[in-house]
Amino acid sequence: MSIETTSAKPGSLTQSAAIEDRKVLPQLIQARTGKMTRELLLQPGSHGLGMTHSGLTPDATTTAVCGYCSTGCGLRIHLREDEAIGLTPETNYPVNLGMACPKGWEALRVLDSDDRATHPLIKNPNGGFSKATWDDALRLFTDRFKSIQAEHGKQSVAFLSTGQIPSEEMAFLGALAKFGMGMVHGDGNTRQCMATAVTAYKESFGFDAPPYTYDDFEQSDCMVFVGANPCIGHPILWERVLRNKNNPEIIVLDPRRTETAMAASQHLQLSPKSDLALLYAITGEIIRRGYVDDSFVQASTTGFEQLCEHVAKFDTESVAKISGVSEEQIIKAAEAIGTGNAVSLWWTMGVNQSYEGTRTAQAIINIALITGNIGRPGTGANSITGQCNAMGSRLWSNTTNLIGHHRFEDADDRAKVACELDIDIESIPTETGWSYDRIMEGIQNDEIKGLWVIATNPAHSWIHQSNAREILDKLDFLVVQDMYSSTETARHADLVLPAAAWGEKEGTFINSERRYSLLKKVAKAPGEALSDFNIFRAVAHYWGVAEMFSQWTDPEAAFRIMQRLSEDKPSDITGIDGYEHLDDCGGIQWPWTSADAKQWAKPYQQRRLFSDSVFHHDDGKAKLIIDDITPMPEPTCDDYPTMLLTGRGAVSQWHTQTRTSKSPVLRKLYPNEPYIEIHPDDARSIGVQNGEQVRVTSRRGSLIANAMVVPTVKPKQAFMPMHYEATNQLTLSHFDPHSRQPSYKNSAVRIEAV
Amino acid sequence: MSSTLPITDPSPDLVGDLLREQQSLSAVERFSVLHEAGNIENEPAQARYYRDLLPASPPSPGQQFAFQVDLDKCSGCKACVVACHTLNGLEEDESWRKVGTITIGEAETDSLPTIQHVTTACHHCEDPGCLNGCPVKAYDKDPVTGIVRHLDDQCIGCKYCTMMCPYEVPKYSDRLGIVRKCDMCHQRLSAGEAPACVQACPNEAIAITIVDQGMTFASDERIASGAPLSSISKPTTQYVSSVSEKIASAVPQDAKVDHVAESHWPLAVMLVATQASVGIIIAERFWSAALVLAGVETSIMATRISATAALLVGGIGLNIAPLHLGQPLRAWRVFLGLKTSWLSREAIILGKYMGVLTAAVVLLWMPTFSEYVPDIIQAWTPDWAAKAALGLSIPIGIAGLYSSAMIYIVTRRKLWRHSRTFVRFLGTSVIVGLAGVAGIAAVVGYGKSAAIMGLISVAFAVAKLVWEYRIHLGSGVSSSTDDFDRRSHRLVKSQLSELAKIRTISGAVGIFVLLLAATIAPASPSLSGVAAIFAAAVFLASELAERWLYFSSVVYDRMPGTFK
Repeated sequence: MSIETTSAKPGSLTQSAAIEDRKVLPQLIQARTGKMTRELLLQPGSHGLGMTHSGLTPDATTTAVCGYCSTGCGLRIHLREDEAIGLTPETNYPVNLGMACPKGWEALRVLDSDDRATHPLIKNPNGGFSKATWDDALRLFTDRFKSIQAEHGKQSVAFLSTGQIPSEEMAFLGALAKFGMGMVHGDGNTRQCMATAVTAYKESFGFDAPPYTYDDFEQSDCMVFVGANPCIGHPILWERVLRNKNNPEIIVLDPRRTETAMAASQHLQLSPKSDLALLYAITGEIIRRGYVDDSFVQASTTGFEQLCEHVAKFDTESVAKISGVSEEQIIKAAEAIGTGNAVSLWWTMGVNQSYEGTRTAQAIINIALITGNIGRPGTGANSITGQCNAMGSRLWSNTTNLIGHHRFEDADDRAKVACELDIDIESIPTETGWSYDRIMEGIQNDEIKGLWVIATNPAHSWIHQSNAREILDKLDFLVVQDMYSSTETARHADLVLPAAAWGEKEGTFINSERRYSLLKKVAKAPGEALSDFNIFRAVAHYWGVAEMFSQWTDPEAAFRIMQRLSEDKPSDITGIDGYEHLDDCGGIQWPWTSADAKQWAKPYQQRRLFSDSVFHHDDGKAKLIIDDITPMPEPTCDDYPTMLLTGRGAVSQWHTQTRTSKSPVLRKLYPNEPYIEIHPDDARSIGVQNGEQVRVTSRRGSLIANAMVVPTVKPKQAFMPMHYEATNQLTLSHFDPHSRQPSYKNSAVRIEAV
Repeated sequence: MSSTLPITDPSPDLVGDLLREQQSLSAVERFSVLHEAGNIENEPAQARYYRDLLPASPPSPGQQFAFQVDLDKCSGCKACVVACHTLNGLEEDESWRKVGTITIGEAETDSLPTIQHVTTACHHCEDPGCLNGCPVKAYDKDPVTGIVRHLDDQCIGCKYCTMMCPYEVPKYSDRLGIVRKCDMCHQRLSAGEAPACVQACPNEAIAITIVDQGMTFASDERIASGAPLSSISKPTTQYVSSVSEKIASAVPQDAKVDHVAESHWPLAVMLVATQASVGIIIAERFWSAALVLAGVETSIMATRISATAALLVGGIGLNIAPLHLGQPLRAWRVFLGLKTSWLSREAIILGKYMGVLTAAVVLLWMPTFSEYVPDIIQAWTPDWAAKAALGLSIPIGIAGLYSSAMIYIVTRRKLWRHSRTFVRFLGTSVIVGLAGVAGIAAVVGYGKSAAIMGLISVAFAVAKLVWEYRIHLGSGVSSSTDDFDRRSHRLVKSQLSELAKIRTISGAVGIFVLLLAATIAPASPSLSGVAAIFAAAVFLASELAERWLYFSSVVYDRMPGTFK
């Protein structure tokens, strides 16, 4: 066809001069327009939006960071009279470049739900809940916790927090609970996702410092993903991988054929928990083949000789047998890493949620270090974080670290914190509190009698669920502070405090690449729900420590406190000029010191760490850390012949689904009934067809799920998404000894036809 | 409850202050609002990402727009589905895109197993089933772009397009009483902007491309594994993959997982009733003809009762049918589709059938109320008029039944093919028609006739029930070589087992009662008549259950889906 066509209307793609208008029937006979047609009418949009329907037409827009995962996408909130009417992904945001995953698109929708907690609820004698005033609720809160502390000691009340609230709220909670209320123990659900990366980085680099920036996805010529499925877990980061123009080699270590593995040029489909041995074998091949960056190793690392000796024990031949990955594949991967100019290594929960995760993460860090792949564009040993503010929790939650990445044990640090917060140094505990698992154990042993749970759902997400629920029921007083009153954990509560959610309050999240970004108050909280920040203010008053927290008037004031606390730390943010500065820049990565701010007008958007090859240990060197491999605590056997892996299901599901299940359109995007992926061979041997029900039993519990018969899991392995309430009935309670992170991904089960 | 520690009294109304602050949204004013109203840019901000995903100009004559999906780039995030929902302002759970999942290969084959997501929307077919089937011209294939657009204000909500579209694209809205579907964001393309899904894909996997019309497809060609045959409607979507051969043989995640289809119960009632109605007329006419041939006197009363019964049954059926429409007040336009739509034809022809039958009934009964009828009318009404009208209703009725059957046959769903549909539809006519007329014959004293007609009806009823047993009711079907039969059987056995039981038991009861009636008919015609009429009613109900199953247990090829 070579007929010349010219658009009748400039830019229009639907009008053609080459095609004559047809005769159309009169409107009475064929109604081409009318009320129903108008319902879907689009109008030229202002605000750079393009064609927009009336429900989404704003009178102003503003950008807020998304509140699900750690990618930290910018969402353009459409406002009418200051109130959000909808959102679209922010085109100009440096993280997501105009895109968002379904969760982000539906971020506002989940605020509107009958399940929202709208009033404080107090458990009544018949087991139900009664509405209460804030005054009654806060008096009860104070009275009960103080009584417990008076009877059992201050340390008998603890808190469990989250990676889902802003840094300012984490800081306030941590300071209030430990310095104001005298608690000693508190931890966050970040223990379930990031503790391993934190511990690994701290030990290796001397500071919890993920070194990368998202631009590295685009700059690498070789990317290694270990226990990571960014296609599903972090789809907007995968967007960055696909934008890489270097035709990169992509190596994936995963027991399953995931979407990411499918896209890889090399998939090392290792048997579960053989990752540490496999990484040591790859390291050995890298060393043997002379790919070590000797000058970097010499100048910037310690422990290379011990590393060489250690990995020599993991010869490729025997590791190939253990891991099910062939010698050729191991060598090929080592070659690709060794010969790459810019190699980046990425890990997620496959590594973190493991009983030897810290050492596995460090094996990844070791590979980056000995090949000199750090501090340059496209390099790094990079932990992709989970929750939107897990990174904030690491710095500000006052749990594993004294607030602002200080040490409880260090008198100078305590003095600094006491000075900046203007509090008595004696109110600061001198030891690090317990980790999540130890707090749960403490409840079981009657050491902890009162618990304050904020924005997390242990009755669903904690490993070995039936035990976790029994533990929660042992408490004398359980307070659950959440945006929904319907969470599995709220059912166990004595007092439910209604919290405002993302979009109903202000603060900052820190994303995976260390970027502080703003969330904004663009929607009214339902009923009497209060932001967590405001709840903490109220608690401070009722507890009688208002004076101590008089500086904490609003989130931005808390941010200024945080800035002061960050001074001279690797995570220094003293150069940020308040929230407006963050808003103008599309977020700012730490560090951004006052010295930086003096030198440069605006922070460069893609900054990475260690370009000077100086690490945070006293000698300025990074440590190469090694360890022996440990056997799996619950290997498969005749009674429980299948290894159960758990993890992310669909992009549209988030954690325990308290939020994502509230969006009708998201609910359509994932299976609503629990399912388990099993291999066709296993399905045949138990006589089950695709879609039929199976019973899955472990030593701890049993559940019914639909069998999804797929060849992407190996025989004698099965995969079940963690989002379903029943999944953790099966999991074995065991932990990484260094990070105390639960190891969710290796439980022996038996699968039978129903 | 007492505290051993003092509680400091809070400030007079701290909580009140906090609650007030929580409800104030003025905080946004503190931040620079990025785009002030009226600050219209030359093109939408997002255009920088989608510019390369659109053609530069409209299609030339003989060409049309099509979606092009690069499967290698699709990572399965489903942002396209939600963007369609959000940017088009659709209902709570409505989206015009969906994403299915397929897996390729088992471990023992040489290639590694692979997972692939397949995003799908309207395929803007060259020969759109929805458009061809629509009885009111509520679909329009745009002459420039080839986009198949749905005219929402024209739609009567008959849902026929949901059967005619092989890809399950049009979706019915209870709130609106119409279907809606993807229009490739025609309004956006008109402004030179990309469709919502194209704009929202992080990986640029969806683009708009121009294809030449006049596509030909191999007889077994499908656009995705398990999808309907492309020859049915000539879909235009282009799926591009570096491993397209493997993808063609992939297994959808929802393979063998079927759900009960919509029962379309008003349609089931209408079909069974109109078929029974025509069956009664035909049975009675044949019986009368046989009596004439045998030299036996016919009964005008039997004719009157039969015709009236046929009118009543058919009338009830046709009056229930509109319950199926979401917008019945727009249904007067149903003649618009006569050229292509069997539904239009059915509606018009069965309407005529009822008209002629009504006339026949009036004329048949006229002698009984002649004193009330003006002479002029009686003078102008010949004696043969009643019989002629009755006779005329037969070919019209048969044409109506044929149209009814063709409605489902042309959907190309294999379980609704000619043999499966005609046996059912004609079977209903024969079984209920003969049983009913047998009853009427017995009541007016023709015991022998009743016995013969009853036995023929029983023979047909037994044959049809046996046939249904072999295709989907019985347990032997599970070993059938026909995949559709096996899938349908699984539905019947699991989720539709109650209905299948009703069909079987009522069929057996009807057969037993009618057999009894036929046996006693020569001796005791009036008792036999009552029994036969009862049997006819049971058959009617049983056939309704059969029809309900016909709709609910249908399975067909579909685009890859996911677990629900």
